[in-house]
Amino acid sequence: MNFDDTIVASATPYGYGGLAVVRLSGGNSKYIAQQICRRNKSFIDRRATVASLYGSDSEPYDNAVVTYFKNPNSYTGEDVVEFSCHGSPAIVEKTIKLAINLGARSAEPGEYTRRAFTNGRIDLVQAESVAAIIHGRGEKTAQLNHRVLSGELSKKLNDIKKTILETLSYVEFELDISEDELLPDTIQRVKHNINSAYKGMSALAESFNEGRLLNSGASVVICGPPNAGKSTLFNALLNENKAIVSPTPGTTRDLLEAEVLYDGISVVLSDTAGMRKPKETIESEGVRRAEEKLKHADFILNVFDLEQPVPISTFSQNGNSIPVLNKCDLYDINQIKKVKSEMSGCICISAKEGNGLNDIKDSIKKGLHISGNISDNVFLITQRQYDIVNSCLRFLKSALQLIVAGSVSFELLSVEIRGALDAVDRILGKTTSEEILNNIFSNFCVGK
Amino acid sequence: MKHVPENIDVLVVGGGHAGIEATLAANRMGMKGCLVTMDKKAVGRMSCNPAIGGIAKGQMVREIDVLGGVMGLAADNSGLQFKILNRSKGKSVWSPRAQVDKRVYEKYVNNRINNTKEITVVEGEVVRLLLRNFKVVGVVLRNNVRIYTQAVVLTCGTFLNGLIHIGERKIRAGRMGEPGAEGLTEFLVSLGLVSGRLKTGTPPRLIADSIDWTKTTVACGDKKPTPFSYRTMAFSPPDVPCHTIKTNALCHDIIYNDLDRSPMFSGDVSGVGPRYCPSIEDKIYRFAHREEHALFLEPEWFNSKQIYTNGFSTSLPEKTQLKALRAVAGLENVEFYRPGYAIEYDFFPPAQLKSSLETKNIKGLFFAGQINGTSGYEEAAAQGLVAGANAANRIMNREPLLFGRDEAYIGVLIDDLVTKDTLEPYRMFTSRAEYRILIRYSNAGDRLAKKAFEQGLITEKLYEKIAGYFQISKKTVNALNAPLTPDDINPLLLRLGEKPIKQKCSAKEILKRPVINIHHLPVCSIEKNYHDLPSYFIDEMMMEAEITVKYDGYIKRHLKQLERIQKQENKHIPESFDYLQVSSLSNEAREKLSFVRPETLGQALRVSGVTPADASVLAVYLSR
Repeated sequence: MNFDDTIVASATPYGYGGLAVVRLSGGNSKYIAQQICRRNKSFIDRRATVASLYGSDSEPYDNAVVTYFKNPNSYTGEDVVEFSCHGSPAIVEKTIKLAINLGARSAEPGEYTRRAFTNGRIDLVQAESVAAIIHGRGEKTAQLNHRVLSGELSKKLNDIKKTILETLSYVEFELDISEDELLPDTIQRVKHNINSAYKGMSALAESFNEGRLLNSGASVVICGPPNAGKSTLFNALLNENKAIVSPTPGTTRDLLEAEVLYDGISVVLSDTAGMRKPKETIESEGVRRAEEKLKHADFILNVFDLEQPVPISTFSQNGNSIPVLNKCDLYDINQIKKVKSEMSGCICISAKEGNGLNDIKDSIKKGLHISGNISDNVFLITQRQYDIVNSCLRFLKSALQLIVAGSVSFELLSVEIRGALDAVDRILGKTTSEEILNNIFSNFCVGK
Repeated sequence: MKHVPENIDVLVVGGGHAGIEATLAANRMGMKGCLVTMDKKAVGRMSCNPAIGGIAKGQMVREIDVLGGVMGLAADNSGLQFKILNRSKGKSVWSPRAQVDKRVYEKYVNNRINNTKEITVVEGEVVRLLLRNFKVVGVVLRNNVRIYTQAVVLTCGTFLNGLIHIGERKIRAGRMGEPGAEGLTEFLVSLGLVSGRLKTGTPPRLIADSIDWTKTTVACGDKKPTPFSYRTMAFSPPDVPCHTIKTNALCHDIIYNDLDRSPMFSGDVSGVGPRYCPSIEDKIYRFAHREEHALFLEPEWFNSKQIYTNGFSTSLPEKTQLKALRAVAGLENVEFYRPGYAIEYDFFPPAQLKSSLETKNIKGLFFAGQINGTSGYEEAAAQGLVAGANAANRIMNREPLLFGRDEAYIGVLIDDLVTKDTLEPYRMFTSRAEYRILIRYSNAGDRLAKKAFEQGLITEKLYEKIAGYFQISKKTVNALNAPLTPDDINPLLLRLGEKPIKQKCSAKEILKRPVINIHHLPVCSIEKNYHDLPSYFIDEMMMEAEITVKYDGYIKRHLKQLERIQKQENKHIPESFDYLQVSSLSNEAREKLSFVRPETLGQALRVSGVTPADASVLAVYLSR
């Protein structure tokens, strides 16, 4: 990757719309913009200016609002120019082509954010939340990621880092400055500090489940024997006729997916083929896919009816599943009562009539442990953050074990505390390596 | 001058700890040497505290010793008491320190210099260098005498434009009672080198008979002392005690009221002093809540009438110093031999040097010691040794002697010097060494003896002797692989309140338990084969064996880390690399890297102000 040239890309999605934004970043941005606008006068920092855009003809091809952000006070920390032109792919392409002819180059995925990071405008945690905001669905998710981007997770991590750093300072003071022998008080203070960092980090680790669900959406899988009414339930929950329903067992052979929002949280519903010995290869592939989906599900609805009285007991990784008795409109009240008393947590519905659907929604929300209370908490949002927090926890735990073991070798304690510190730094992006960077930044769409 | 020495290979300017080791190291490598000093009688003088070693410093003394240096032997032969610091904090950071008899130390070193063939000592002041094509060819003394040489090592200590402060009094001097050196800084600056100003201080020296010793607390050394040098075979230091006393509120008030008369506070001193060795006025100003500070009364030699007041470094007016000290219990009637003082001096930010300690701009010119912004006898001696050896290597057209950060404290020292900003006098700390578990005082011989021999710094005989010591530790570790039965070891484990074993288990496994030490285990009989060796070496080797086993996991972890960074450490940056053309480096990084001109990518990463992002940018550029 080249670091010092000027890059250009569309900042808005491809297609027709009211407006499209083309963005330039780098040392030549202003020069290129002036050429395209045929302006001798310089643009004024942070002022939106109406200008005509020219190609090779004497006639302009569009009128745009041009805004210049002088370095370092821009998104990337470099000189940035944004053209808000009319939203036609032809205009966008022409503007980009002109910029390239004038020396700019097409931005690579995530390159703007990468530059923002390289120039110290944002830290790594914030950079990750940019990707999450772009890809994120649901209002809660947006809130969460905005909190991360505005630095709240970084702040929490920085607080923990401060505690770790302070502890390390005690330890190093003892090793390097104090010529007195160790006092029990010192050891207690160090232990107390490590414990407090450990608690803070554990809380963050626990937040990952929710952060992950909020970001990538929860996977809720409907499964059960053939003809139990899974697809009917799927359609009912979606409120549209997406899946084909018929009285013939084995109608659904492929995996169907659709997204719904429950209280601003994205939920991906999957309708699966009925679980039975497959009669043909297509159906057997459907069953295989269903099994695969079930493995990674966050929540499972085990649908059954009284024709096939015992529900197939399938559970998600974390034991999240409920039995759902369908077709209750067909049974009398005593039959239903009997099932309810025999099977704890069983929800009785009629997908066809639309009865009991809210009970299902509530139990999904409850089962996913989503507090919905985003404003007071910060969450880890990526697997990378979660892995590193766990590695940090391992170091802190080893440190505590060294103290418990009684032989307080302070230089070994220091190795563990430094390990924990490096881990925190790796999340905050202070000591990251090139590979991680490439990995993170290639997840961005062009233009951001 | 009657006789001007001729055909000199390595000429060393300055007779302090750096100059001495430089002269001797070049000599061991077969060079004809000349030591130019302003005062022949001051060669080897300990200007400040009467101690050698200490935390991180003791480790360096050992390293200097393995490299054939004189510091450890001189300390062993002049020691008044020996103590291992950090005993309760972890064996890999144990640090030896000795109180020494300054007079005996000085005499020992002088004898060594004077009795070594091919070393000429010249009294005089070097005022400029003779150059040809940016290469040193000689020096010019104040009396216009020219001495020609192939390489020069400058170890000027605090003498370059030295300025002593005692309250409002200012004295131009290199040390109290010795004139400073003038003109050399200006000459070097005219060659394009950049100079700066630093400050250090020393406490008052008290008259022993004026102290009420009954009011002091005695502090002795170790009952079983350990020498610095692998060459010290007979060793029975006298264990002369030091004494401690404590300051009090009255003493603090006296100092506080006169703070504005301290040149550090009045703004008279522009040089920056060390944070880790603050003056007493600094301590009282910055830690106002402390009710007392400990002071250490240290004898400067055996039966010394002159006492060093460790912890009371100051540049207050003499009368204030005396008044404040007389407020302290035990010092009511104290008298001075001489007051404490601060001294400002010129230094040259060491980023202008290569790792060989040769200046980047002038071939054959080496710097070592305080001229590089360091503080401490040990730091100076270590640099002197490396500079002297590399002056010899330069002349013989051999590769320079370098040490990794994982190999020696000396390696950490020099790497820090050539990459980091010098904001205060540099002192070694164990925490500066990322791999301190690997570089222990107790394994210095194992780490460096082979290299020292290959360089020509020590004889084959000494190399074999040191390697022989480590056979004890290595054989012991092997012997620990032997299995122990429950019957062998359970009585001991039960006695120590440990969980007994059910099946056979190697002694190594048992030793890994925190409460078990090597002397608990039956395999230690190996030491009996070495009864002709002094017991302190055997003890040390047994400890080495124990560390090797107990720290095994941590040692392996460090070795793995090292493997990972090896690539960037070895990635060479061309000397002519133009950082200004890499526009995506931050401005600060561009500026710093252009000044420092690191030799490897690993070094570039450690340059102050260079962020990991800058390092990635640089890595990309270098791989193109």
